[in-house]
Parts: sequence; C-alpha cells; structure tokens
Amino acid sequence: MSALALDGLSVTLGGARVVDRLSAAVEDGEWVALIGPNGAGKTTALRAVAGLVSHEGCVRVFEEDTRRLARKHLARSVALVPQVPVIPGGMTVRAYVLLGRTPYLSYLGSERHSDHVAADAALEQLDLVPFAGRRLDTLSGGERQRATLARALAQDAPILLLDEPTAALDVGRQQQVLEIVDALRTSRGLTVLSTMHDLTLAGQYADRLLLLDRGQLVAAGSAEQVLTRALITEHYGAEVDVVDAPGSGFVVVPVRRPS
Amino acid sequence: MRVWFPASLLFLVAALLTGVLVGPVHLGVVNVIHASFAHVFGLRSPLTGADDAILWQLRLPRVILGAIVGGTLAAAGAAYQGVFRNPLADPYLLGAAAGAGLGATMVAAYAPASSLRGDLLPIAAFVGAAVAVIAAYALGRSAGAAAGPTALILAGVTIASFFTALQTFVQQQNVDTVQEVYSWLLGRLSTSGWHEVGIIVPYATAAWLIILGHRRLLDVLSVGEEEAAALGVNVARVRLLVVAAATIATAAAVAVSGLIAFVGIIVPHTIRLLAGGSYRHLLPLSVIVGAGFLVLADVIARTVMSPAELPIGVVTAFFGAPFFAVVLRTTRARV
Repeated sequence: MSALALDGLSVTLGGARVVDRLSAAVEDGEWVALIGPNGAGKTTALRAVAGLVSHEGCVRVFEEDTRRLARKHLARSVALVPQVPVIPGGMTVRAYVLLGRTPYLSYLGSERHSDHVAADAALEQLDLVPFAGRRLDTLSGGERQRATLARALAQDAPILLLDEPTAALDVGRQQQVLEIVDALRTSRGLTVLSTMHDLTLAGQYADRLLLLDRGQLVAAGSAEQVLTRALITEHYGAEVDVVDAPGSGFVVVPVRRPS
Repeated sequence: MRVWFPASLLFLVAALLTGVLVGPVHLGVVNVIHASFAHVFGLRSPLTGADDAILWQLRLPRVILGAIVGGTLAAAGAAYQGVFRNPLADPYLLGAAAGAGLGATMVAAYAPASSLRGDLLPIAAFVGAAVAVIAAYALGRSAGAAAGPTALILAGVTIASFFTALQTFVQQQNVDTVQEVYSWLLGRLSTSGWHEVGIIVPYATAAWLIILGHRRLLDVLSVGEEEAAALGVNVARVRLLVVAAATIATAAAVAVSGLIAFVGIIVPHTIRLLAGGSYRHLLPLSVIVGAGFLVLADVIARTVMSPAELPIGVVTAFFGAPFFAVVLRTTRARV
C-alpha cells in the first residue's frame, strides 16, 4: 500500500499553474526527494499534501482522500517541517515541541499525560533534553532545526514532509540532520517526502528522486537514473559533471568552463 | 513562573484595598473589610449610615468597575496581540474606539436632552463599537482568507478613519457638544452605584471565559497561520471567536468607562517581559494585573487634583509609559 499517492495533483496560485498534473506514489517507509530548479513547484506540492493550499486532482494518505479528512485527522497522518519555521522566540523548547500534540487535543482541551510522554520522547530522540527549558531565541540554527523536527515527531504522524531540511545549515549540520531523519525513518517506520536543493545529498539519502520542472514531473527514479548530466543541464540550465564516487553515490559537481 | 500568580493576586488585593481606603473620608481597613462582607452576606455593617453609603454606594462599585474594566481591556489586548501576532495590537485595533466615539457623538448631538440621554450614550457607544468591528471584519474577510491578519488590520484602519471622519463632521455641526463628548472619550470611572457594574459583568465574564479557554490555541497560533493549520487548527475559527469575545467585552468596557488607552498594550507586555510569553500564563495574569493597574490608576485620577478628577486615560498613559520604559530597560538582556 502506498503511504502517499498523488493523482493528477495541480495547484493554481494567482492564476499561474504552479503544480501541473503531478502523479506519484511514495511507498510506506520510503524516502522520496523532490528536486528541481527554483520555482519548479516543490514546496507548493508539499503544502498541497499538507492541506495548506487548495488543489485539483487527488492526494491520498493511506488510501484516504485528504479532502475528506478533517484538518485535525490529516495532521495526525502528515507532519510538515517548513523551510523557514516561524520561531516564537519567547517560548521554551519543551513548550514548542508540545505544540506537536495539537491534533490530538479537543478544541479547548489541554495536554494529558500521554502528550507529555510523547513530547519527552521526541526531545530525547533529538538530543534536546538539555535544551528543554531554554528559550527558542537562544538556540543556534541547527538546534532550532532539531526543535522543529522534534515538534513534527511529537505529532506522531507516519508521514513526514520536509521542506529543504538543510537549507540554512553548514555541511556538518546538514549531514547530522539528514542522518537523524534517516535514523528516525528506520526506528519509527516513517515515510519521508522532502524537497532538496543539494542534489548530491538528495541522491545519497533518498530512495528515489522526483525531478520537477515548471510544475511537471520530468523524471523519476534512482539517483543513477535522475542525476544525469543531460537532465540537470536541461532542467537546471547548469553546467555540471556527475561523478560516480564509490561509496558516496553520485556527486554533482558544478563546472566552470574557461571563457 | 510559580511566583507570578501569587504575586499578581497580592498586587490586586493591595490595589483593591487602596481603592476603597483612599478618599476624603477615612474609613479604616478593618471596618472596610468587615462592612464589605456584611453587605455581601446580608449582615449588619459596622459603619455609620453615611460612611456605609460612601463605601457601598460610591467607592466599592467604582473600585469593582475599575477592576473589571482593567482586567477586560488587558485580556482583550493580549488576545488581540495573540490572534494578530502583532505586539502593537490593542483592543481598539479593529475600530472599536472610533465606532464608540461616533455612537457617543451622535447621541450627544442629536438625542433630545432628557434623563434618558445618559442611558442612551453607553448603548450607542456599545453599538458603535460593535458595528465598526463587524464592518472591519467583513471588509477584511472580503480580501480573501489568504490575505490573513494584515488585511483585517488594514480594514480596521480603514473603518476607523471613516468613522472618525463621520464623528468629526457631526461634532463640527454641533460644536456645543464637544465638551461632553471629549470628557467621555478620555475615559472615566464615575459610577452611579452598582448600575454600571451590572451592565459590564455579563459581557466581561463571557469574554474572560472564551479568551482564557483559548489560551493554549493562542500559543499554537504563535507559530504562524500556516504551521498552526498544519497542526490541525482551524485558524479562522479561533480568530473569529477570540476577536468576537474581545470586541464585545471591549465595547461593554467602553460603554461604561469611555476610552481608556494603554491598558491593553502595557499590561500584557509588562507581563511578557517579566513572566514569559506563553498565553497560558499571560492571559490569566493580564486579567489580574490589568484589574489592579486600573484601580490604582483611578486612585491617582481622583486624588492628584482633588476634588477635581483627571481623566483616567491620561493617568494610564502618563504613569504607564514610563513604567513600561523601566521594565523594557531592565529586562533588555532577555528580550
């Protein structure tokens, strides 16, 4: 059974068709990366899956049409980590992670013991226990990213949507975050759909890549199939070499031709 | 954190006692407490007839009214700041002040001078405030849900300017009413017994319950509309309910006490700086501290130039602003 199935997904924003008849499936436990140039519709596709923009076509989460799911129930199946999360600076890390329990609470209700247990587990898994009482605005970029991931984990959703999870991080933190995601995927059996700018990292961590250009799916498959010089040149307009580095997958190297 | 609730309650009790004790006639702490309980439980008051009337008909209703109005404005301000994620939001943001001003001016200008006029003014202020906010809400919503809180705030500004223009026009046509309208606009807590308290209590109670009930959801909204929606929250519904509750309470407060500025901004921000930004603590603390703050402001308003009274809005701004500046400076490192 596919954890997530997109069937002719189209999104129109301000008269422009940003995602155009995208059909794809993500299997249970799989990590799929959406790649493509700026403006290809990667983020919009994620937002459509999370129910944040209206769309045509169909998004199914474990066989259920998301349009028939109440917002709250969708949030129990799909957790989104935005590219630039809004950080309420004065809030403690623990209170922030506890927000992930929102889909399980009644409208005016407050958290129960089980919600605190789930938040504590998320804090522990992301090594945030020593930070639990700290204010968010005292954390570094990498620590904040982990706090947002912890909030998504506390949401206990089987599908994790990551929008550029490594965008503002240095190379070490990038690896750290992606390793954490991969470990969580294994230990919690999560399905991951992420957008990625860094093609080499996308190839290293994702099981499959979906290449979008101007809203349309133009290539799909393994790193070997998608990270080719021809495809990248055509859709990114970039001069690159793709090097098959044993043990590291396919490394995409920008090339500067002497002019 | 734990220390702030008892501390704020202590502040409120001290403010209430100051409010009933300060005045031209000396009543005495023990007598005041004893007599208040006697009235509540239908027992014999230890005070003489005149003193008892001063306490029960003059000071106590005024102090209680100040506490309710202060708590309401502070909670409404904090609630507005939460739903609009805008630190400068106050209870008058969506045009409540301009609407109330127009309503009051219309009564002052066009209603026949009679005993009824005094009763009509608060009703007109209430209706004006409610109409202005509903108009702003409808206008803001017509911009589409995607426009979000910014559209609502702009709609509030639009409606407020329009209503203020109407008010100024009516006032220019009826210059003789300027004094009456002006003194009302600046805010005052003069009461005629328990009448005003009776007017505001149902609105204030309902608003407090609704706003405090949403304290956890306002924390969720602090991560922004989109993320709150991704967490399963119906943001539009939360905003509508909280704004409706805060607006009705503000309109009721304006109707009984005129426009009292600054309470809705200064009290929540002072609490934020001292006790942290979570709405779970901020909202109940705002009610308690706002109540005490306005009672103390009223004590100053009626003693500084005694027997004349200062408009209480002047006091809240004059003493509130420097106090806020001190809080801002001393907690600079943590902001």
